[in-house]
Amino acid sequence: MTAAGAGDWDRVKHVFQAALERSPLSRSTFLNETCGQDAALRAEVESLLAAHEAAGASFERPAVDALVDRPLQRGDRLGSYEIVELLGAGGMGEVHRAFDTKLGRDVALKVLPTLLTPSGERLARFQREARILASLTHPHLLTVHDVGEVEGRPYLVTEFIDGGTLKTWLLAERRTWRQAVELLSGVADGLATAHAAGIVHRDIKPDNILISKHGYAKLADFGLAKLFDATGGAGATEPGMIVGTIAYMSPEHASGSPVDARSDIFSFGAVLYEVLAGRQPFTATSDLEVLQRVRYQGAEPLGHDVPATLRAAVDRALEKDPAARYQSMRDMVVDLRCAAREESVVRAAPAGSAARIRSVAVLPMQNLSRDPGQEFLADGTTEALISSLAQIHDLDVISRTSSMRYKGTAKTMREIGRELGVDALVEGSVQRVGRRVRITAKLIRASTDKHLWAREYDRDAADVLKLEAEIARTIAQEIEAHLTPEETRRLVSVRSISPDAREAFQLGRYHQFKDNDADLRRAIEHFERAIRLQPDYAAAYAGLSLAARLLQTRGFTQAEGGARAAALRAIELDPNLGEAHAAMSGLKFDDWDWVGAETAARRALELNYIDHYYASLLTITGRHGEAIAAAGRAARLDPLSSAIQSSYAIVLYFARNYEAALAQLQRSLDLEPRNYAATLMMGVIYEALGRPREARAIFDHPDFRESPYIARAYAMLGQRSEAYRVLNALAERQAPVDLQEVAITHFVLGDTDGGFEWLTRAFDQRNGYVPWAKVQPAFDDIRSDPRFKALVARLKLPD
Amino acid sequence: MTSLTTNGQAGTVSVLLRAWGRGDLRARDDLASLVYREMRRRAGAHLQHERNDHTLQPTALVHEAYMRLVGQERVAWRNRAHFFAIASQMMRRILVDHARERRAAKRPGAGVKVMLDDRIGAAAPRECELIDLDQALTELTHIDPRQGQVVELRYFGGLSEQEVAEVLSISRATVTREWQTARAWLYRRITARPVQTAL
Repeated sequence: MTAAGAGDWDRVKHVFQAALERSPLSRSTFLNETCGQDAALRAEVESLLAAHEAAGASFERPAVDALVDRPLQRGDRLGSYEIVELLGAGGMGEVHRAFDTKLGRDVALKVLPTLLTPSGERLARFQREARILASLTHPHLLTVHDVGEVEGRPYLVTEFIDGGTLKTWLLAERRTWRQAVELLSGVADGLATAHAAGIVHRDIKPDNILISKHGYAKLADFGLAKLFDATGGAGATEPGMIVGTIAYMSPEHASGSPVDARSDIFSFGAVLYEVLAGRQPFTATSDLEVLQRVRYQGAEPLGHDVPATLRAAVDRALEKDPAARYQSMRDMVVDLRCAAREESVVRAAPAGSAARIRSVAVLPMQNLSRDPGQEFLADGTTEALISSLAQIHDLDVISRTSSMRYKGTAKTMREIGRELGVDALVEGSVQRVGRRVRITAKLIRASTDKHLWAREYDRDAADVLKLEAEIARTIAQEIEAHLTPEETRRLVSVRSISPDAREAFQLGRYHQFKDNDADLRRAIEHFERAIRLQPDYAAAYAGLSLAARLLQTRGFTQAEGGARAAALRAIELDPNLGEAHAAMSGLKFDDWDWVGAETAARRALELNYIDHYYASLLTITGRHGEAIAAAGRAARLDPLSSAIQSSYAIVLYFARNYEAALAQLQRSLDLEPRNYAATLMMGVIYEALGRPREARAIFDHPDFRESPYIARAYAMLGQRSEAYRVLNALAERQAPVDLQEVAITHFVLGDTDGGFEWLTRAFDQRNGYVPWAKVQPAFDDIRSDPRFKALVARLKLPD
Repeated sequence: MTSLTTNGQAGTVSVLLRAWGRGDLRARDDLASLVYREMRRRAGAHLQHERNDHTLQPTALVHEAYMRLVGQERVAWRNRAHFFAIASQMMRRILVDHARERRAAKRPGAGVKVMLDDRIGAAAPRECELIDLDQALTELTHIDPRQGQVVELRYFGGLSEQEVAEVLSISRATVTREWQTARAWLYRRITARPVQTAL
C-alpha cells in the first residue's frame, strides 16, 4: 500500500481524483486505459477507491464533536442515582433531576462536559472542595451529597431545589429592600461560612442563587468556575483567563489578577445592588465596555428608598480596591442584619422598656489588615476599650483574658453573652492603613442579639487614643450608665501619644500577657522603646513595672529597682492610672509594707482597676470574708481566665473552704488543663483534706516529681524514704524551691527542728508564700511553737 | 510573557503570530491557550444565554472563538489564512492533548473515540482513537502537505469547504478533491492495521 513513493504519489492522486470524477461503472475502463501495465499504480488507486466507498461521510463532523457528550437519558444509572429528567444544559454541563435509590429522595445531578473536564490536580482540587462543601451544613448553601465520575466526566450530586433562581425571582415582581435583605442575608451568611472554610465561589450571580417555592435562597455551584481556570496553580488565575459572569465580576477578576474571598464580596455586592436597584450595577452594550465599567467606573448610587446603612454596605462591597472592601463576608453579614433591624432599633431605643445594661464584654476587635503582624493593634484597641469602660463604676466590664478567648469564635452573641453572664457585648474591627486608622464598633444586646448602636470611625493614627476614649464614652451614653464627674473627666482628658510610641506599647502588652520569661523580656524591651519615643508615657512605665516584677517573682525572689522606679514614674506622670497603683501595690507587698500595699491597692480599686493583691492582703491579715468578696468579683469579671479562677481558689483555701476551692480549681483546670498553680493547689487541698493518695496521684507528674508537694504526700502516706529522697534532691538543687513547703514536709515527717530550719530560711529569703504563714492551714500543728510565733512576728502584720 | 488580558487581545494575537513565525515556541503555546480560553469563555457565555439548550454546538463555539479573536484584529490582522491555519492546528493540539490526558488518566472509557462512517455495513459503527487519526494525519502531511492542511482546517478547524478554499486560495473543487483523497487515505490507513506498526 505504501508502494507509491513521493514522486508516485502525485500520479496516484491524479488518477484517483480523475477516477472519482467518473461514475463507478466507467472507472474500471478508465483505470485500464490510464494505468496500462502499471499494476502497482492500479492496485494503489483501487485500494483508495475502495477506502473512499467505505469511508462514506467519515470525518465530516468536526473533531470537537468527538468530545460532545451523549446526554444522559431518563433511566440511566450512575451509582445509586437514576436520571429522571434533564433540567438544563449549557457550557458548564447538564443538570438532571435524579432519584437517589439508596435514600429514596430527589437530588440534582450535575455532569460536567467532557470538553471542559479538567484532569489531574485541578480535578483533585474540585473533588477536595466538594468534600469540604459536603462537610459544611448551612441552610443557605446548596448541600453537596456526593461526587463521582461517569465515562470520565465528573459529576456532582446536590440537594434538589424545587423552584427557580434569583433571576426568575427578580423578574417575577418588584421587591422591597426589606424582602431583598431578608432573602440575601442568609446567602451572605452561607458565603461567609464557606469563606471561613477556605472556599471561594468565584461566580456569584443571580443564576447561582436558587430560590425554593417557599422563598428560601440557596447558593449553588461553588468553585465550578475555578475548575475551568486555565492553570492548575494554587488558586491564582492565569492572566487573561476569565471565567465568570462579567456583569458580577470583581475588577481584579476582570483584569485577570488572582482573586480571593473579597472578589466574592464584590460579586455579592453586585447581586445585592441589582436586587435593590432593579438593574445591574455595571451595564453597557458590549462585554468589553462592561469590563471597563467594572474596572474603572463606580455604580450609580442607589436610591434613597434604600436605607443609608444598606447603601453604605453595598458601596463598600463594590469598592474597586479589594483592600477598601469588607475584608470578611462575616462583617458584611453583620451590617446587613444591622440594616434590616435599623427601623426597629430606632423605635426600641428611646422606649427604655428593655432592662438596663449593667455589664458588658468587649470582644476581641478584628484585625482587618491583611498583615497578621498587626494583630497587636487590634488587641490594643480591645484592651483600651476594656480599660476605658472598666473605669466606669456603674458598669461591670469583663476583663481582658476572658474577652480574648473569643478571638475568632464561631459562637453567637447570645452564647457568648450567656457564657460571660453579661447584658451586652461590644464588637468591631480595626484596620490601619498608613497613617489612618479605621475602627468599627457595635454594641449588641446579648439576650436578643439586637444591635443597639454601631459606628465606623476613620481617623489619623495619632488620634487613636482619643478615639478609643470617645467610643467608650459613647457606649456609656448609649447604655445610660451613670458617670461620676471624675470618670467623665478621665474619659475626656486623654493624653496625646505618638503613634509609634503607642505601637511599641501595644507590642509590649501583647508580649506581657503571654506570661513566659522570653515574652516578658520582649515586653520589657517594647515598653522601654515606647518610653524612649514618648518619655511621659505613664502606661508604658506601669507596664514595664508589672512585667519586670513578674519576671523577678517567677524566680521566687523579689523585684529589683527597675520595676520600682518605673511604677513611681508612672504614678508621677498620671496619678489616675489604676495600673500604676496596682504595680506599686505589688512592689510594696514584696517589701512586706502591708499598709503601703493596701493603700495602693485601694487607690487602684477606686480607679476601677481590679487588683489581685488586694484579695491577698485581705487574706494574710485574716479578713477572709472580704478577701472572698474581692476575689469573687475578679473571678466573675474574668470568668474565662484560668489564672484568675485559680487565684480565687487560693483565697478559698486559706479561708479553709476546701470544697468550694476544689470546685473553683476544677473550673480553672477546665479552662486550662495545664495550669500549674491550679494543679498544685488541688494536690495541696487534698493533703489538707487528709487525702494524700489523691494528692500523690496528682503530683506524680514531671512538673511535680521533684517537688516538696509530692514529698509531703509521701510523708503523709508513710513512704518516708521516698519523701527523703525527694527532699535530698531538692536540697542540692540550684533552681528556686518553695522553701516553706519543704519545711512543712519536715513537720509532717516529725522532724520539727529540721522544719524550722527550712522555715527560717524561707523567712530570711522572703520566699514564696511566707506572708501567708499566719493563715496557712498546714502550720496548725506548730502554731503554738514559740519559734513559729517569732517568725510570724517578723511579718509585722497589722492586727 | 506577553500579558493576555482580554482587553489586550486585539494586539496580542498578531504579536504572538509574528513571534511564532520567528520560531518562538512559547508564543505558539500562548496562542494555543488564548484560542482555547476564548473557546471556553464562549462556552460559559452559552451557559448564561442558553440555559435550556440541550447540547452545545462546538462548531459554532469554535467559530465564535475565532471570529471574536479575528474580529478584534481589524487593523492589525492581515493574514486571515495564517490565523485559521494556526487556530486549526491549535484545535488539533488541544484535542489530541486532551485525548492523551484522558488516556493517561486511565479512566474507564479513556481516550477519545472518533466515529467512522462504514458503508460496507458492519453491524456496529466503527470507531478509531483520535490519537491514531492524528498520527495518520501526520504521515499524510509528510506525503502531501496540502492535503494535510485541508484536513486540519476542515476536520480540526471545523471550517466549511468554501472557507478552506478561501484560506488556501484554491478553488472549492480542488478542496473537495483533496479532501476526498485525504479521507480515503486516512480511512485506509486507520482501518488497515495498527498505525504503530506501519512506521
